[in-house]
Formats: sequence, structure tokens, C-alpha cells
Amino acid sequence: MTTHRRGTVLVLAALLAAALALPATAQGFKDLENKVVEKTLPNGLKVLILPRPEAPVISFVTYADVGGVNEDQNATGLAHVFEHMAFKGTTTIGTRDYAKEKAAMAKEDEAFIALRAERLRRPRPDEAKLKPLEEAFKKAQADAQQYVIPNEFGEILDREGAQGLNAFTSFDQTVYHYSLPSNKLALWAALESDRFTHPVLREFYKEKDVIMEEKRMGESNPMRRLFDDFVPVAYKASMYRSFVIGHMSDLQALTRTQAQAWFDKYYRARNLTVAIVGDVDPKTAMPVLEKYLGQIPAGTKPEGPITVEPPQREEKRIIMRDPSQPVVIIAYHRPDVNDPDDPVYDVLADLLGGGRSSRLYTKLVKEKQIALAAGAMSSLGGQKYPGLFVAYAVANKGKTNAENEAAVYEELDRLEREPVSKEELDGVKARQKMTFLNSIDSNMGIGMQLAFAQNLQGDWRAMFSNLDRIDAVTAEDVMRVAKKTFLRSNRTVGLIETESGKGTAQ
Amino acid sequence: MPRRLAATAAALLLAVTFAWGAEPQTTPAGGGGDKRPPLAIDKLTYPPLHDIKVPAVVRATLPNGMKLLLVEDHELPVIQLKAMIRGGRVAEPQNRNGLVSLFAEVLRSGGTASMKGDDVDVFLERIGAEIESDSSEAYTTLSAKMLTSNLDQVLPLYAEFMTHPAFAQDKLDLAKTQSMSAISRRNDDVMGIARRESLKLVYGAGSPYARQVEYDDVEAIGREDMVAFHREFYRPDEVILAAWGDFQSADMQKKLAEAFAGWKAEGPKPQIQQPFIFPQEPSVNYIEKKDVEQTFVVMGELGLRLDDPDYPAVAMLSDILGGGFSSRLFVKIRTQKGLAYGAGGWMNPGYDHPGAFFFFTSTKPSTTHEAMAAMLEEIKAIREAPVSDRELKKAKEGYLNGYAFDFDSTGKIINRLMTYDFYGYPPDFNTKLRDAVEKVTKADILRVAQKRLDPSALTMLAIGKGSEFDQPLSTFGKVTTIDITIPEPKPKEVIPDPTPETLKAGTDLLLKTARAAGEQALKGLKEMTIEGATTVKTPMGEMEIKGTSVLVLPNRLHADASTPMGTVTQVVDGERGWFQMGPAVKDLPESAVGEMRRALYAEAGCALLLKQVLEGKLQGQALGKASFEGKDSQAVVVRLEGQPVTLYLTPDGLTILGLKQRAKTQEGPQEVTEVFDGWQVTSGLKVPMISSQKVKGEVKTSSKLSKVTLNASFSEDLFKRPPEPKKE
Repeated sequence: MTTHRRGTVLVLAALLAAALALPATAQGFKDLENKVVEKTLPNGLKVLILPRPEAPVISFVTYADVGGVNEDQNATGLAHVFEHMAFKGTTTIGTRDYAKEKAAMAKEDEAFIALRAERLRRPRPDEAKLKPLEEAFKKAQADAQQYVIPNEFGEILDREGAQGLNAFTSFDQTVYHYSLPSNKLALWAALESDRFTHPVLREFYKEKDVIMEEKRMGESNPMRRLFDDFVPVAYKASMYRSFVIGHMSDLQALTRTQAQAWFDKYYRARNLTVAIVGDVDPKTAMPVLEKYLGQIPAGTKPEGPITVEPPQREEKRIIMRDPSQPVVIIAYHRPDVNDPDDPVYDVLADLLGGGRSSRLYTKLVKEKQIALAAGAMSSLGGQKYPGLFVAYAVANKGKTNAENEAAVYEELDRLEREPVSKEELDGVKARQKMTFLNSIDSNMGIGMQLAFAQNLQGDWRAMFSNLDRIDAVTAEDVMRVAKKTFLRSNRTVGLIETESGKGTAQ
Repeated sequence: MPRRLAATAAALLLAVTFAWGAEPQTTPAGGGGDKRPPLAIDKLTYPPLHDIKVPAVVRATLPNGMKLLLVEDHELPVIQLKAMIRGGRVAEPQNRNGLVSLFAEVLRSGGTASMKGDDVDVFLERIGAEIESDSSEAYTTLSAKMLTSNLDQVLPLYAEFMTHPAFAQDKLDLAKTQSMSAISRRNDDVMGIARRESLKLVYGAGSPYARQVEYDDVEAIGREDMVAFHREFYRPDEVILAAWGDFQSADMQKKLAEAFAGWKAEGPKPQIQQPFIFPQEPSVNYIEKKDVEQTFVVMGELGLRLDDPDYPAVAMLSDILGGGFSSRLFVKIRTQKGLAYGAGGWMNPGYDHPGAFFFFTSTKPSTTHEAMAAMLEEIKAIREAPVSDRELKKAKEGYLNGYAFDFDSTGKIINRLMTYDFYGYPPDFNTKLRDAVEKVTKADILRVAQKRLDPSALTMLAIGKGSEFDQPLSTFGKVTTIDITIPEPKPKEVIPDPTPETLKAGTDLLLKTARAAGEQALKGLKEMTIEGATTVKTPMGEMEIKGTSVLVLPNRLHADASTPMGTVTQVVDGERGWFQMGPAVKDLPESAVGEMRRALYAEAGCALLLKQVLEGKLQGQALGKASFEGKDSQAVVVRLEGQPVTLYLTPDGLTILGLKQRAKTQEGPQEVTEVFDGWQVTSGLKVPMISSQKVKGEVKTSSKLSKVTLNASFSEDLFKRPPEPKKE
């Protein structure tokens, strides 16, 4: 094979093209934006529909404006526990005889509360009393179980061809989602209405066992362990310091009554948004949605957390000694998603960590070869309230956290010192546009974007205008925000220092 | 890529999701609302589903043989390209384990003939475009994604990556360092261990579908390997290129034709040998990992291909057993017993080789046995009685109702078509599969459960803290503890640079050896016929192979071996080689031919090697005194086609005790020691009638010769390649 030489020409053409690349604008998305149909039902539930009739399928997103941030001490993990319960059925689905089941569940609750009281007794539980209480609870649990049809909710959806039936709980939101063949819109509406109007929190105590296993599984991951310890150090007051998965003690103590109260407070129509994207005609769909989703009680919009994170006084640092590979994460406090500087943080994260030509990747991975991976995230955890901007590096074999940490600071300093060039900034903007395009290439992707923008930014249109906001970011903005953010006193550093003495020597 | 890592880390930390593992497919379960009035939703009626619109696919073949698939999609101003190039992990040459993933990495990072990799990064990222390369078992891919307006800038670069990648040495070095760093951390992630080790248990540690890459493998890979792989496999008639997005097909076809106009295929297409999968013994395995809060359990078994007639029934079986929220495993282990967050499993079919069943869960150490027993119980139960009508109905309806999702994105449609083309499946295979699923009966499921899912054949694996298990693992059978300690890189063999003195001393020593072996016989040597038997250790036990080899100097070999699997013939004719098993004839890869050619030198007590020394064609380099297998010896290194082989001679230099060299083994490249014994004189030549090969001190093969004949007449037909077998 011969190697043809046309090097210089191609390089020049390429660089020229790059220089000429126009910054991204949202203009191209007007068509899509204009197709969105928005309606607030009389009960306050927000409906967003985007028709995309290419394939006969629809994706559904139900966004509850509640998450870990709304939890209280002693009851961490509740948002997520309820999320699990929302798959357990209703007064009609998942039960053989609801009247009898209800009575049996009441007895089960009574037995658990008695057991719980003994378990929590100070200075110590009475062992002699615990045993019979445990047995009584077990028996009550078994009694309630006989009325249960396990997983009937999921089973119906499986049978009807649902794809990706799932949900997730985060700091700011709890989101339920799946897709169906498009002739089954009414099925989704009926089921979703039923589960958020008449949910039955059956198998509650057993499901807590499952969640405790989920927690253990997560903690088998060393990065997860690091973050578990790191985040509460970075925050002193904000509820973002809490764990969405919950503390083991709290999970053990949670009662069905607490979960029911959580539902009654947060799963009301005014606190819910649905986004429906796919082969759907808004005209014919709306009456169906009104009929079913209109049944969800209106409620009142609940109050959010009050505590505000106070300014940090000095650098904080935590070290986790662990057999796994060395990692350094550096977090800086940043304002929330609605701050005018929010897009600047997106630009900063992209400059530092977006792709192979980003600054941290170029410097730490390609040039110095001290890191296996390095990058940045514009926000870690929640976005609704002031959060964290994060840079990180995973040390290459034989390299240290100290080298990587120093190299990260060098790059952060450079952002404060030198204005970013127009070419580099335009590149960020082009990439952000592509990232956005990638996020809207599926029904589910668009549905998520609509629901998130509506709730976090107050208007689904923000999903499109975010690109304009990024486009407006200047080199001066980047420098100004870098200067105000990347202060030693504003940062928390978390490290995994590899130590083979713990656990296996692997 | 940093962005991906960021996204993964964020997702991991922030959200707590409901399901575990892969997206659950469809499912049913036991139970049933016997005495209940019908549900409100049961009364719902649904309008007929809108027709599935299959987008128009333009198919074309360029004059150079490149196949094109084009689909227009104008919703977003984006164009995507993806090429599948035949030749992947399975085509890795011997001694080059791990080449293909490094190849894919450096293909992109190393830049092209005209643009350095770092400049490519900047260029593409300034316009928000991407070019990426990846690898799999059967192929590598080269993909691009760009805004419509950037097609003309990206396409020439994309084509250049395909035709003239640079494989820059510095980027290869970087990729190798990163790859070694990743090896050093591979035991951090328990899920990774579970995946890796369970594949090895099912396919065998040496299989390309399972084998892991070690430091020494990475070390052995050089730029020339990348260049050779590219030269062999990157040719237009082995490429399927798909384009989809915002373009006019005629225009795109023209542009692609132009971009690849100068690229031509030369010579015959490379032959890729489908690896033989040795069935593995059932086993119970334990890996100790103390820094995890749970026991991770995987049970595996060899499965089947996607086009197997049993597949539709197996798909329903695996769905009912472990495919989602209402599967038997999920219901038993999570819903009823509350033992785990995730429990399930399925048979993942292969396109061109048998896939595997994997069943998994993770539970706290004190319920390990309970969860495993529950899992086994369900696997056994599904073979003992037919599934219920309700279960089958739900599994089928789920599958059939989900069919519309096969068409919910252009990318999905075109990727499927391309994959079908690649493996020679019909384009409507998914529709045929749907029709076949529709016909599956309960009897079919019971039949395939009994035929395909054998609980006594499972390979079981538990990873965690064994001392805290509720019952010892040995209740399931004899436990093998797997040591996952990462093998340290072998210290680099330091062979000092030759000096005139060491070369002379080494050559003199070998001349002495050659004379002692029989100077006249060696000088007159033209042909050797060797008969004997070799015992080989395999994962299934010892296997005896009887055979006859005809060795014609300088570089031809015809070997017939009778094995328990039938007669195998291997032929090397200088640069070329092939092997025949039954009617099938396959060419040997270039590297294998080289390895066999080098092996000829060592046959019959290094007869050919010594002959070359006598004829002044080969030099030795004296390394001085050494210990070999506990005996005093003198070491001499010779270089056969550039590869060092160290011979160990008796202190008097008259006899060869054995040799050491790096060679391919089932566990990857290793130092192999060959020990000679039982010397006899045949037609004036001293030949060892006994030899054995050892790896890490363990005998892997031992051979006993029954007869050695010199300079017999032979038929040239022995070296004629049989005609091409019919294409399957």
C-alpha cells in the first residue's frame, strides 16, 4: 500500500474549517419546539406532548418534583423507598382481596411499630422481648402476603410490550419512565393515574430488605464509597449532603405510615409533570389524559428545603485508604441551575473535560501521562439548589494523586489567568450543540429533557434556550467565573489512596 | 473518553435506580388473580397499531467492493457513518493476545498519514464532530458523527482513517501504558471480575470469547502488528459502510464513492478461522474479595446461536426464567425472599458462535447459599414441568408487543441491517424470529429446557467473603478457588548484545554439538519422516495424538495427526500454511506459519538448526554456564527469524539438554521449556526419541517417537493445497 502525501493541504483545510465553524444557535430547533403541546390540567398536573410519528411507539416520563433533598434526618432514603413502592400495585392491581389485605397490612404495621420501638429503646433493647415481637411481626407479614399478587403491575406492562420500565430517585427529583407501542396510550394513562391515586404500599418491609441489598451492592464500588464520604464533607448544611439511598439505621426503622405520608404530601397533581413523546396525536390524546390523570388529587405545591449552604471557610480534605486505584476529586461550590452563570459552568466543564482535546485530558492523560482519565462535571448531585462543580483525575499506574492534583490546579489557574481563545470557545459551543443533539435523538431522551427543564428551570422551553445561553458566554465570563469559583477556600478534595492492607490485596 | 466517564460517575452517584443489570425485557410470573373481578384496564380496547414504517434503505456496492447502506433521516441536522470491517478479536494472530482492542484505540488516536492524532482531536472537537473506532470479536468499526454542514470536512478525514492510519508510535505507547494501568486495576470492580471469570469458566480461559489480556501480552504488541493487521483486514471488499441522517442518498453515495475511489483490494481475502469452543467441565468456583458487602453469584452454561432453530423457544424459556420483574428468578429471590436487589439471567445468543446462559444475583454473605439454592431450584424446576399457559402467553405477548421498538430509531434499524449483512443473516431476520416466537409452544419450551439447559453442567461462581457464607460453597460440589492475582510482567529477558567473542564461542560450541550429532548425516539431510505419539494436557484431561510428520528441508512440513476429534492435517509450505479437518480447509494466519516454521528447526533434536550451523548459515551466541532443569549446562542463544531461542548443552557441548523460547500457549504467550531425552542413533543421526514441553514447570505435552527415517522419497502431493471447500 502506498502512502499518499497530501498532509499540509488537509491540515490547512481542516484548521480553516474549524475557524469558520459557526457557533451553535437554537434556530435549528424551532421546528421541534413548535411541535410541543403544553397543557395544565384542572388539577394542576402539567402535560407536555411532542408528536414524533416516525415509529409507532411512545415514551412516557412522569416527573415528581421531590427527591432526597426533601428528606429529614431519621428518615433518609424515604424518597427512594417510595419510588420502589410505586411498582407494588394499587387497590385493584396486585391484590387478591384488597379489603382483607388492608386489614392484614394494618396488623403488620402495628407489629412492626411495636418491634421498632423495642429495637430503638435506650439504653438497650430487651432481648427477651425482641424475639416474640420479631415472631409476631413475621407472622403478620406472612398474613398480609397471602393477599398479594407479586409484581402484577410490572407483569401487565411486560405483557403489553413495555420497554425500559424503570424509575430513578435523585436529590432533586423522582422520575418514572417506560415506553409502549403507541396504540396503548390509554393503558399508560390508566395505570399511571391508578398508581398515583390509589397506590398500595404492599410488601413494604420486604422491599426495604431489597433496598438494603441495593445499598450494599452500591457500596461494593470504591468510587461510590468515596463519594459517600466526600459529599457530606463538601456540604455542611445543604440537604445535598444526605444520601439518596439512605442510612442503614433509617432504612431499618422506616414505617409504611411514613412512606404513605410522603406520597400524600409529594405525589399530588400540582407536583407532577408528564412528558409524552412519540407517535401521539395531542388532540386525541388530551381527552384520554384528562380522563385518567385528571383523577389525581390536586393537593398543594409542597414547600422545599429551607437550609442554605453557608460559604465555606477553608479547604476541606478527606482521604479514603482503599485497595482500589488512586483517584482525586476536587469539588467547588457553585450556584444553582437558575443562576445567570450556570451556562458558564457548562463551558468550564467542557473546556476542562469535554473530549480528547479538553485541557485536563490533553495535559494529564496525553502529555504528562500521569492520569488514566481526567475530566470535569459542571454539577455533581442536585442542580436545583447551589451545588458542586467537580474536576477529577484517576492516576495512571505508578503515578500519584499529588502529581495529578497539582496538574489539575495548574489548569484551573490557567483559566483564571489567560482568556480562552475564540477557537477554543467556539469549539465548546459546537460540542455543546452536538451533546444536546445526542440527548434528543430518542423519544425518551426528549421526554426527559422536557420534564427536567420544566421543573428545574420553570419552563420546558429552557431545554432549547440553554444552547443560546451557552452561546452567549464570553471569554471574560469564563475568566470571571473561574476566578470566583476556583478558590482554595471554596474547595473540598477527596482522595482514594491505594492501600492494599485493607480487604483483598488486589 | 472523559465525558463518558463523567457521565457514568455522575449517574452512579446521583441516581438510585430501580432495576439492576441490563434493561429487563419482557416477563410473566406465577400468581394469578383467581377470585377477583376483572381489572378496569382489562376492559380497555386498543386501536390497531399504526403501521411500522421501514425507512427506505439504499444498498449499493462501490467498484472497489465496499458495500454501502444508506438511510435518510432529516429530523436533526446530523449525519452518522459506521463501517464494520471483518476481522476482530477472533482474528488476532497467535502471540498477539489483546492486539485488536489496542489496534482500534490507536487507529483513532494515532492520527492519519496527513494529520496527527492530536490535531485530529482539536479539529473534530472544534466543529463538534466525532470519529471513533472500536472492536469486537468478529470485526472492528470506524464511526463518525457530525453536523450536516460539516460532512465535506469530516468525510475525507474519515476515509483517511480507514485507508491510511498512521499508528503513531507515541500513541501506541500511551495506549499500552493505559492498557497496563487498566490491567493493574481490573480487580477493583467486582462486577468486572464476575463478568470476566464467568466467561472464562464457560468458554475456557484460552478462548477468544473469554481470554484476558495480561501485561506480557500488551508488552509484546508493536506498531508492526497494527500495520500488519490493517494491511491484512482493511480492504474495501471486507467493509460494510452505513450512513444515516440528513443527506440525499444519491449525493451521499457519490461522495462516498469519491472518498474511497483510490482504495483497492489486493490479493485473496483473509481467511478467519472460527475458534473451536471446548466444552468446559461443570464447576463450583470461589473468589475471595473482602472489600465487598455482598456475594456476587453467576451461574453459566454454553448456549446457542441466534439462528439456531431452538433459539425462539430458548428466548421464551430464558425470559420466563430470568428476564425481568416478573420472571421466576426475580420473583423467587427478590420479591418473595427479599434476598437481593437484582436477580435474573438469560441466554445471550451469538451470531456466529454459541452464546451463553448467565444467571446472576448478589446478596449479603449470610444469605449466599440460600440465594444460590433458590436459583438452582428454579433452573431445575423449569425442566421438570411445562411452564404455565399464562407464563407463555405473557412472554410471547411481551416479545410480540415489543417488536415495534425494533424500528424506533434510524440508527437502530441500520445497525441491525448492517449486522445481519455482516453475519450473512437475511435482512428480515427479526421478523422471521418474531413469527417463530409466535409459534413456540409449552412443549417446545420444556423440550429446549431439557436439551439446552442442564443444571448439572453449570459453572458456578461466587465472589465475596466466604467465611461469612450461611453454608459452605462445597454443598454444591468440589470448590475450586480461583486466584485472581494479576500476573506480574515477566522481567525482560536480558540477552546481552553479542560480541565477536561470544559469537565465536557460541558457534564453535554448536559446531561441536553438530559433529557429535552426526556431521555426515546432517550435511546430507534433505528429508525426515517422524512417527510418534504426543500426549497433550487439555482442560478436559489428557489427550493422545498419534501422527506422522514429513519434514522437507528447508521449510516444508506435512503433519497428519489423529485426534479424538478426527484427523487433522497441517501443512506449511514456506510462507504459506493451511490445515484440514474433515472436508474443511483453512489457511493458517501468517503468524502461525512463522511459528511453525521456526518450530521445524527444533524437530528431531534441533537437526535443522545444527545443519544450518554446519553450513555456516546460523550463528550461536554463548551465554556461559547456566542451570537447566537442575543440571549444569552451557547456554547458547540463536536467533530464528529474529526470535531468540536458548539452547542448553551438556557442559562438554556434545548433547542438547533442551531449549527455552517464548511461544503461544493456552494461557497466552509464555516461556516454554523443551526437554530432550532418550537419544538414539538413526541412519547416522543422533535423535532424542523422548521430549516434553513445560510451561511454568508443568509438563503440557510429552512426545515419544517410534520411528525416524531420513531422506525417504515423498510425494509432492503432500504440499498441494486441497481445493477450496464449499462456502457454508
